[in-house]
Amino acid sequence: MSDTPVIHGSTKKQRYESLVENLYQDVYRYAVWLCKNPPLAEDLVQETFLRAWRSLDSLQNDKAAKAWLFTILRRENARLYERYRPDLVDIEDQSLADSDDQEPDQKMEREMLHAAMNRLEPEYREPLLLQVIGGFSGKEIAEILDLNNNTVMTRLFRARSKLKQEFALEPDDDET
Amino acid sequence: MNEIEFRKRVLADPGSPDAEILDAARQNPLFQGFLDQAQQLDQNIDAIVSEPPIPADLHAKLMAIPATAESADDNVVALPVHRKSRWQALAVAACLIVAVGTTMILNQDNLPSAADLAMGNQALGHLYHENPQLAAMNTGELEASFTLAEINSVMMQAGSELTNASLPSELPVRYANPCLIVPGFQSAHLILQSDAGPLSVMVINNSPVEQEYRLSDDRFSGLVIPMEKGNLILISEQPEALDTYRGTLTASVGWTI
Repeated sequence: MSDTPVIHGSTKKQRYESLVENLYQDVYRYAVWLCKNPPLAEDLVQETFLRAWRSLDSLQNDKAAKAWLFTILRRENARLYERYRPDLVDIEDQSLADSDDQEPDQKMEREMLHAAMNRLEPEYREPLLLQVIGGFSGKEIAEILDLNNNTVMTRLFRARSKLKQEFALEPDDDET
Repeated sequence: MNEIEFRKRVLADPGSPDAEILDAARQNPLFQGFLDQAQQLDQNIDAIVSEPPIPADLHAKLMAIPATAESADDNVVALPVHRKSRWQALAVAACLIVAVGTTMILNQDNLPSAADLAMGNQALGHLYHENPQLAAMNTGELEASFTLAEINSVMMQAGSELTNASLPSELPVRYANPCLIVPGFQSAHLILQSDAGPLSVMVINNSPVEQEYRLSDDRFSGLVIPMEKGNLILISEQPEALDTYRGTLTASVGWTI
Protein backbone atom coordinates (compact mmCIF):
# COMPACT_ATOMS: atom_id res chain seq x y z
CA MET A 1 0.00 0.00 0.00
CA SER A 2 1.33 3.43 -0.90
CA ASP A 3 2.01 5.85 1.90
CA THR A 4 -1.05 8.02 1.24
CA PRO A 5 -1.54 10.09 4.36
CA VAL A 6 -4.73 9.76 6.32
CA ILE A 7 -6.71 12.91 5.71
CA HIS A 8 -7.91 14.54 8.86
CA GLY A 9 -10.64 17.11 9.13
CA SER A 10 -14.33 17.05 9.62
CA THR A 11 -15.48 19.28 6.77
CA LYS A 12 -15.38 18.71 3.05
CA LYS A 13 -13.16 21.76 2.61
CA GLN A 14 -10.67 20.50 5.17
CA ARG A 15 -10.55 17.09 3.51
CA TYR A 16 -9.96 18.77 0.16
CA GLU A 17 -7.21 21.02 1.50
CA SER A 18 -5.46 18.01 3.01
CA LEU A 19 -5.61 16.29 -0.36
CA VAL A 20 -4.02 19.28 -2.04
CA GLU A 21 -1.42 19.79 0.65
CA ASN A 22 -0.26 16.18 0.68
CA LEU A 23 -0.66 15.07 -2.89
CA TYR A 24 -0.61 17.89 -5.42
CA GLN A 25 3.11 17.69 -6.11
CA ASP A 26 3.00 13.97 -6.93
CA VAL A 27 -0.11 14.47 -9.02
CA TYR A 28 1.61 17.26 -10.97
CA ARG A 29 4.78 15.21 -11.54
CA TYR A 30 2.75 12.30 -12.82
CA ALA A 31 0.76 14.68 -15.04
CA VAL A 32 3.95 16.05 -16.60
CA TRP A 33 5.06 12.55 -17.55
CA LEU A 34 1.63 11.58 -18.70
CA CYS A 35 1.05 14.45 -21.13
CA LYS A 36 4.68 15.56 -21.66
CA ASN A 37 3.70 19.19 -21.61
CA PRO A 38 4.16 21.14 -18.35
CA PRO A 39 1.57 23.89 -19.03
CA LEU A 40 -0.95 21.26 -20.06
CA ALA A 41 -0.04 19.22 -17.00
CA GLU A 42 -0.88 22.17 -14.79
CA ASP A 43 -4.30 22.44 -16.40
CA LEU A 44 -4.88 18.71 -16.04
CA VAL A 45 -4.03 18.92 -12.36
CA GLN A 46 -6.49 21.78 -11.87
CA GLU A 47 -9.13 19.82 -13.73
CA THR A 48 -8.37 16.77 -11.62
CA PHE A 49 -8.71 18.62 -8.33
CA LEU A 50 -11.84 20.42 -9.53
CA ARG A 51 -13.44 17.04 -10.23
CA ALA A 52 -12.09 15.70 -6.95
CA TRP A 53 -13.71 18.59 -5.07
CA ARG A 54 -17.03 17.97 -6.76
CA SER A 55 -17.07 14.25 -6.02
CA LEU A 56 -15.17 14.22 -2.75
CA ASP A 57 -18.11 12.65 -0.96
CA SER A 58 -17.66 9.54 -3.09
CA LEU A 59 -14.18 8.99 -1.66
CA GLN A 60 -14.99 6.62 1.18
CA ASN A 61 -11.48 5.67 2.25
CA ASP A 62 -9.00 8.48 2.63
CA LYS A 63 -6.12 6.03 2.33
CA ALA A 64 -7.16 5.49 -1.27
CA ALA A 65 -7.05 9.22 -2.05
CA LYS A 66 -3.85 9.15 -4.05
CA ALA A 67 -4.94 6.26 -6.28
CA TRP A 68 -8.29 7.99 -6.71
CA LEU A 69 -6.64 11.25 -7.82
CA PHE A 70 -4.26 9.48 -10.18
CA THR A 71 -7.21 7.65 -11.72
CA ILE A 72 -9.10 10.93 -12.24
CA LEU A 73 -5.98 12.43 -13.80
CA ARG A 74 -5.56 9.52 -16.20
CA ARG A 75 -9.20 9.82 -17.23
CA GLU A 76 -8.86 13.57 -17.83
CA ASN A 77 -5.73 13.02 -19.87
CA ALA A 78 -7.50 10.38 -21.98
CA ARG A 79 -10.41 12.78 -22.55
CA LEU A 80 -7.97 15.43 -23.68
CA TYR A 81 -6.29 13.14 -26.17
CA GLU A 82 -9.56 11.88 -27.57
CA ARG A 83 -10.12 15.35 -28.96
CA TYR A 84 -6.68 16.90 -29.22
CA ARG A 85 -3.17 16.02 -30.14
CA PRO A 86 -1.43 19.06 -28.72
CA ASP A 87 2.17 19.76 -29.61
CA LEU A 88 4.35 17.95 -27.14
CA VAL A 89 7.54 19.40 -25.81
CA ASP A 90 10.42 17.29 -24.69
CA ILE A 91 10.25 17.52 -20.93
CA GLU A 92 13.82 16.31 -20.83
CA ASP A 93 15.07 19.65 -22.09
CA GLN A 94 13.07 21.64 -19.59
CA SER A 95 13.76 19.63 -16.50
CA LEU A 96 17.44 19.13 -17.13
CA ALA A 97 17.94 22.80 -17.76
CA ASP A 98 17.63 23.33 -14.03
CA SER A 99 20.29 20.80 -13.10
CA ASP A 100 23.40 22.64 -14.17
CA ASP A 101 24.96 22.08 -10.77
CA GLN A 102 25.55 18.42 -11.65
CA GLU A 103 28.90 17.06 -12.75
CA PRO A 104 29.11 16.58 -16.53
CA ASP A 105 29.23 12.78 -16.20
CA GLN A 106 26.29 12.80 -13.85
CA LYS A 107 24.36 15.05 -16.17
CA MET A 108 25.10 12.84 -19.15
CA GLU A 109 23.97 9.77 -17.24
CA ARG A 110 20.76 11.51 -16.29
CA GLU A 111 20.17 12.56 -19.87
CA MET A 112 20.70 9.02 -21.11
CA LEU A 113 18.36 7.58 -18.53
CA HIS A 114 15.80 10.29 -19.20
CA ALA A 115 15.92 9.57 -22.92
CA ALA A 116 15.60 5.86 -22.24
CA MET A 117 12.52 6.49 -20.10
CA ASN A 118 11.00 8.57 -22.87
CA ARG A 119 11.60 5.73 -25.30
CA LEU A 120 9.89 3.15 -23.12
CA GLU A 121 6.60 1.95 -24.52
CA PRO A 122 3.68 3.36 -22.50
CA GLU A 123 2.69 -0.11 -21.30
CA TYR A 124 6.04 -0.30 -19.48
CA ARG A 125 6.49 3.35 -18.57
CA GLU A 126 3.09 3.79 -16.95
CA PRO A 127 3.39 1.16 -14.20
CA LEU A 128 6.96 2.28 -13.56
CA LEU A 129 5.88 5.91 -13.05
CA LEU A 130 2.99 4.87 -10.83
CA GLN A 131 5.39 2.87 -8.70
CA VAL A 132 8.13 5.51 -8.53
CA ILE A 133 6.03 8.70 -8.31
CA GLY A 134 2.94 7.34 -6.62
CA GLY A 135 4.64 4.76 -4.43
CA PHE A 136 1.88 2.33 -5.33
CA SER A 137 2.08 -1.41 -4.75
CA GLY A 138 1.71 -3.84 -7.63
CA LYS A 139 -1.87 -4.50 -6.55
CA GLU A 140 -2.73 -0.79 -6.51
CA ILE A 141 -1.13 -0.27 -9.91
CA ALA A 142 -3.12 -3.23 -11.21
CA GLU A 143 -6.33 -1.56 -10.04
CA ILE A 144 -5.44 1.82 -11.54
CA LEU A 145 -4.45 0.32 -14.89
CA ASP A 146 -7.14 -2.34 -14.86
CA LEU A 147 -4.62 -5.15 -15.20
CA ASN A 148 -3.88 -8.20 -13.09
CA ASN A 149 -1.08 -8.12 -10.56
CA ASN A 150 1.16 -10.60 -12.41
CA THR A 151 1.00 -8.53 -15.58
CA VAL A 152 1.97 -5.42 -13.65
CA MET A 153 4.94 -7.11 -12.00
CA THR A 154 6.11 -8.48 -15.35
CA ARG A 155 5.86 -5.05 -16.94
CA LEU A 156 7.76 -3.45 -14.08
CA PHE A 157 10.50 -6.03 -14.47
CA ARG A 158 10.65 -5.46 -18.23
CA ALA A 159 10.63 -1.68 -17.85
CA ARG A 160 13.71 -1.72 -15.63
CA SER A 161 15.37 -4.38 -17.77
CA LYS A 162 15.03 -2.13 -20.81
CA LEU A 163 16.37 0.86 -18.90
CA LYS A 164 19.31 -1.13 -17.59
CA GLN A 165 20.03 -2.36 -21.07
CA GLU A 166 19.99 1.12 -22.59
CA PHE A 167 21.39 3.05 -19.68
CA ALA A 168 24.12 0.75 -18.44
CA LEU A 169 24.72 -1.01 -21.76
CA GLU A 170 24.15 -4.34 -20.08
CA PRO A 171 22.70 -7.50 -21.63
CA ASP A 172 18.91 -7.43 -21.75
CA ASP A 173 17.71 -9.10 -18.57
CA ASP A 174 14.44 -9.69 -20.33
CA GLU A 175 16.10 -12.44 -22.33
CA THR A 176 17.39 -14.34 -19.33
CA MET B 1 16.22 -18.99 -5.37
CA ASN B 2 17.80 -19.12 -8.82
CA GLU B 3 19.28 -16.11 -10.55
CA ILE B 4 16.42 -15.57 -13.01
CA GLU B 5 13.84 -15.56 -10.23
CA PHE B 6 16.01 -13.23 -8.15
CA ARG B 7 16.48 -10.74 -11.00
CA LYS B 8 12.80 -10.74 -11.90
CA ARG B 9 11.69 -10.04 -8.38
CA VAL B 10 14.32 -7.38 -7.76
CA LEU B 11 13.65 -5.49 -10.98
CA ALA B 12 9.90 -5.57 -10.40
CA ASP B 13 10.33 -3.65 -7.15
CA PRO B 14 13.88 -2.83 -6.03
CA GLY B 15 12.64 -0.37 -3.42
CA SER B 16 10.86 -2.93 -1.26
CA PRO B 17 12.81 -6.18 -1.36
CA ASP B 18 11.23 -8.87 0.79
CA ALA B 19 13.08 -11.00 3.36
CA GLU B 20 13.67 -13.80 0.87
CA ILE B 21 15.38 -11.42 -1.56
CA LEU B 22 17.51 -9.89 1.18
CA ASP B 23 18.55 -13.34 2.40
CA ALA B 24 19.51 -14.42 -1.10
CA ALA B 25 21.52 -11.22 -1.57
CA ARG B 26 23.37 -11.73 1.72
CA GLN B 27 24.40 -15.23 0.67
CA ASN B 28 25.59 -14.32 -2.82
CA PRO B 29 27.79 -11.29 -3.58
CA LEU B 30 26.66 -11.32 -7.22
CA PHE B 31 23.05 -11.10 -6.12
CA GLN B 32 23.94 -8.31 -3.68
CA GLY B 33 25.68 -6.41 -6.48
CA PHE B 34 22.65 -6.78 -8.71
CA LEU B 35 20.34 -5.55 -5.96
CA ASP B 36 22.59 -2.54 -5.32
CA GLN B 37 22.61 -1.69 -9.03
CA ALA B 38 18.85 -1.94 -9.27
CA GLN B 39 18.40 0.30 -6.25
CA GLN B 40 20.85 2.81 -7.72
CA LEU B 41 18.87 2.77 -10.96
CA ASP B 42 15.70 3.51 -9.00
CA GLN B 43 17.38 6.40 -7.20
CA ASN B 44 18.27 7.88 -10.58
CA ILE B 45 14.74 7.34 -11.89
CA ASP B 46 13.35 8.94 -8.75
CA ALA B 47 15.63 11.96 -9.24
CA ILE B 48 14.50 12.33 -12.84
CA VAL B 49 10.79 12.15 -12.13
CA SER B 50 11.26 14.75 -9.38
CA GLU B 51 12.98 17.21 -11.72
CA PRO B 52 10.06 19.10 -13.28
CA PRO B 53 9.66 22.16 -11.06
CA ILE B 54 6.26 22.57 -9.47
CA PRO B 55 4.62 25.79 -10.75
CA ALA B 56 4.86 28.40 -8.01
CA ASP B 57 1.19 29.34 -8.08
CA LEU B 58 -0.29 25.87 -8.54
CA HIS B 59 -0.86 25.32 -4.83
CA ALA B 60 -2.78 28.58 -4.51
CA LYS B 61 -4.84 27.83 -7.61
CA LEU B 62 -5.83 24.43 -6.26
CA MET B 63 -6.69 25.82 -2.84
CA ALA B 64 -8.97 28.38 -4.51
CA ILE B 65 -11.00 25.73 -6.33
CA PRO B 66 -13.71 25.17 -3.67
CA ALA B 67 -14.61 28.86 -3.59
CA THR B 68 -14.58 29.35 -7.36
CA ALA B 69 -16.35 26.05 -8.07
CA GLU B 70 -19.18 26.84 -5.68
CA SER B 71 -19.58 30.26 -7.21
CA ALA B 72 -19.66 28.74 -10.69
CA ASP B 73 -22.17 26.09 -9.61
CA ASP B 74 -24.44 28.82 -8.26
CA ASN B 75 -24.30 30.60 -11.60
CA VAL B 76 -25.08 27.45 -13.52
CA VAL B 77 -28.16 26.87 -11.44
CA ALA B 78 -29.28 30.43 -12.09
CA LEU B 79 -29.37 30.05 -15.88
CA PRO B 80 -32.85 30.49 -17.36
CA VAL B 81 -34.31 27.27 -18.65
CA HIS B 82 -35.72 28.79 -21.84
CA ARG B 83 -32.28 29.77 -23.08
CA LYS B 84 -31.99 27.18 -25.81
CA SER B 85 -35.36 27.70 -27.46
CA ARG B 86 -34.89 31.45 -27.65
CA TRP B 87 -31.57 30.99 -29.39
CA GLN B 88 -32.90 28.35 -31.69
CA ALA B 89 -35.27 30.99 -33.03
CA LEU B 90 -32.44 33.44 -33.50
CA ALA B 91 -30.42 30.78 -35.30
CA VAL B 92 -33.12 30.46 -37.91
CA ALA B 93 -32.99 34.21 -38.44
CA ALA B 94 -29.21 34.13 -38.61
CA CYS B 95 -29.28 31.51 -41.33
CA LEU B 96 -31.26 33.84 -43.55
CA ILE B 97 -28.34 36.20 -43.80
CA VAL B 98 -26.64 35.42 -47.07
CA ALA B 99 -24.34 38.33 -47.70
CA VAL B 100 -22.94 40.31 -44.84
CA GLY B 101 -21.26 43.65 -44.72
CA THR B 102 -18.85 44.25 -41.90
CA THR B 103 -19.20 47.98 -41.53
CA MET B 104 -18.15 49.02 -38.09
CA ILE B 105 -19.96 51.55 -35.99
CA LEU B 106 -17.62 53.18 -33.58
CA ASN B 107 -18.77 54.55 -30.29
CA GLN B 108 -15.63 56.27 -29.25
CA ASP B 109 -14.85 59.94 -29.58
CA ASN B 110 -11.24 59.19 -30.37
CA LEU B 111 -11.16 56.97 -33.39
CA PRO B 112 -8.85 53.96 -33.39
CA SER B 113 -6.06 53.77 -35.92
CA ALA B 114 -6.65 52.27 -39.34
CA ALA B 115 -4.55 49.23 -38.39
CA ASP B 116 -6.63 48.66 -35.26
CA LEU B 117 -9.84 48.96 -37.25
CA ALA B 118 -8.55 46.49 -39.82
CA MET B 119 -8.01 43.93 -37.07
CA GLY B 120 -11.56 44.37 -35.80
CA ASN B 121 -12.81 43.92 -39.32
CA GLN B 122 -10.85 40.70 -39.69
CA ALA B 123 -12.26 39.42 -36.41
CA LEU B 124 -15.82 40.09 -37.53
CA GLY B 125 -15.09 38.48 -40.88
CA HIS B 126 -13.77 35.41 -39.09
CA LEU B 127 -17.08 35.02 -37.27
CA TYR B 128 -18.88 34.48 -40.56
CA HIS B 129 -16.33 31.87 -41.42
CA GLU B 130 -17.30 30.10 -38.20
CA ASN B 131 -21.03 30.41 -38.85
CA PRO B 132 -21.53 26.61 -38.93
CA GLN B 133 -20.25 26.41 -35.35
CA LEU B 134 -22.56 29.20 -34.21
CA ALA B 135 -25.54 27.62 -35.95
CA ALA B 136 -24.75 24.25 -34.38
CA MET B 137 -24.61 25.86 -30.95
CA ASN B 138 -27.89 27.62 -31.48
CA THR B 139 -29.63 24.42 -32.51
CA GLY B 140 -28.10 22.49 -29.63
CA GLU B 141 -26.07 20.20 -31.90
CA LEU B 142 -22.82 21.44 -30.40
CA GLU B 143 -23.33 20.42 -26.81
CA ALA B 144 -19.95 19.01 -25.81
CA SER B 145 -17.89 21.30 -23.66
CA PHE B 146 -14.14 21.62 -23.53
CA THR B 147 -12.16 21.09 -20.35
CA LEU B 148 -9.72 23.63 -19.01
CA ALA B 149 -6.82 21.55 -20.30
CA GLU B 150 -8.30 21.36 -23.77
CA ILE B 151 -9.00 25.07 -23.81
CA ASN B 152 -5.51 25.92 -22.72
CA SER B 153 -3.94 23.60 -25.24
CA VAL B 154 -5.53 25.92 -27.81
CA MET B 155 -4.88 29.18 -25.99
CA MET B 156 -1.23 28.40 -25.43
CA GLN B 157 -0.75 28.53 -29.17
CA ALA B 158 -1.61 32.21 -28.96
CA GLY B 159 0.71 32.66 -26.00
CA SER B 160 -2.19 32.93 -23.61
CA GLU B 161 -3.99 30.88 -20.99
CA LEU B 162 -7.28 30.69 -19.19
CA THR B 163 -6.35 31.35 -15.59
CA ASN B 164 -9.80 30.88 -14.10
CA ALA B 165 -10.25 27.13 -13.66
CA SER B 166 -13.96 27.40 -12.95
CA LEU B 167 -14.85 29.47 -16.00
CA PRO B 168 -15.63 26.41 -18.17
CA SER B 169 -18.24 25.44 -15.60
CA GLU B 170 -19.73 28.90 -15.55
CA LEU B 171 -19.57 29.51 -19.30
CA PRO B 172 -19.22 26.17 -21.12
CA VAL B 173 -16.79 26.38 -24.01
CA ARG B 174 -18.37 24.66 -27.02
CA TYR B 175 -15.67 25.45 -29.55
CA ALA B 176 -11.94 26.06 -29.25
CA ASN B 177 -9.54 26.32 -32.13
CA PRO B 178 -6.23 28.07 -32.89
CA CYS B 179 -7.78 29.99 -35.77
CA LEU B 180 -5.94 32.30 -38.12
CA ILE B 181 -7.73 35.58 -37.51
CA VAL B 182 -5.02 38.10 -38.32
CA PRO B 183 -2.45 36.80 -40.81
CA GLY B 184 0.97 36.43 -39.29
CA PHE B 185 -0.16 36.29 -35.68
CA GLN B 186 -1.07 33.37 -33.46
CA SER B 187 -4.62 33.46 -32.19
CA ALA B 188 -7.18 31.39 -30.39
CA HIS B 189 -10.92 31.42 -30.88
CA LEU B 190 -13.28 30.14 -28.21
CA ILE B 191 -17.06 30.16 -28.40
CA LEU B 192 -18.70 30.18 -25.00
CA GLN B 193 -22.26 29.29 -24.17
CA SER B 194 -23.36 32.37 -22.30
CA ASP B 195 -26.70 33.34 -20.90
CA ALA B 196 -27.06 35.57 -23.97
CA GLY B 197 -26.17 32.86 -26.47
CA PRO B 198 -22.86 32.14 -28.17
CA LEU B 199 -20.12 34.51 -27.11
CA SER B 200 -16.91 34.51 -29.13
CA VAL B 201 -13.66 35.14 -27.33
CA MET B 202 -10.64 35.73 -29.52
CA VAL B 203 -7.14 36.12 -28.21
CA ILE B 204 -4.59 37.44 -30.66
CA ASN B 205 -0.89 37.58 -30.00
CA ASN B 206 -0.25 40.88 -31.79
CA SER B 207 0.38 44.44 -30.67
CA PRO B 208 -2.31 45.72 -28.32
CA VAL B 209 -4.61 48.27 -29.96
CA GLU B 210 -4.11 51.87 -28.88
CA GLN B 211 -7.44 52.02 -27.12
CA GLU B 212 -10.41 49.80 -26.39
CA TYR B 213 -13.17 50.21 -28.96
CA ARG B 214 -16.51 48.77 -29.94
CA LEU B 215 -17.54 47.55 -33.34
CA SER B 216 -20.68 46.17 -34.87
CA ASP B 217 -22.36 45.23 -38.11
CA ASP B 218 -25.84 44.07 -39.02
CA ARG B 219 -25.49 40.95 -36.92
CA PHE B 220 -22.67 41.13 -34.42
CA SER B 221 -21.40 43.51 -31.78
CA GLY B 222 -17.85 43.38 -30.58
CA LEU B 223 -15.41 44.78 -28.12
CA VAL B 224 -11.66 45.01 -28.83
CA ILE B 225 -9.71 45.18 -25.60
CA PRO B 226 -5.96 45.81 -25.47
CA MET B 227 -4.27 43.55 -22.95
CA GLU B 228 -0.79 43.05 -21.63
CA LYS B 229 0.69 41.25 -24.62
CA GLY B 230 -2.03 41.17 -27.22
CA ASN B 231 -5.71 41.76 -27.79
CA LEU B 232 -8.86 40.22 -26.41
CA ILE B 233 -11.88 40.47 -28.69
CA LEU B 234 -15.41 39.65 -27.54
CA ILE B 235 -18.14 39.28 -30.14
CA SER B 236 -21.79 38.43 -29.64
CA GLU B 237 -25.10 38.80 -31.40
CA GLN B 238 -26.38 40.41 -28.20
CA PRO B 239 -24.62 43.74 -27.47
CA GLU B 240 -25.46 43.57 -23.76
CA ALA B 241 -23.49 40.33 -23.42
CA LEU B 242 -20.27 42.24 -24.00
CA ASP B 243 -20.62 44.35 -20.88
CA THR B 244 -22.02 41.47 -18.86
CA TYR B 245 -19.00 39.25 -19.41
CA ARG B 246 -16.27 41.79 -20.05
CA GLY B 247 -15.00 41.85 -16.47
CA THR B 248 -15.06 38.09 -15.99
CA LEU B 249 -13.26 37.40 -19.24
CA THR B 250 -10.55 40.04 -18.97
CA ALA B 251 -9.80 38.70 -15.49
CA SER B 252 -9.71 35.12 -16.76
CA VAL B 253 -7.20 35.50 -19.59
CA GLY B 254 -3.49 35.62 -18.91
CA TRP B 255 -0.37 35.55 -21.04
CA THR B 256 2.31 32.93 -21.06
CA ILE B 257 4.73 34.64 -23.44
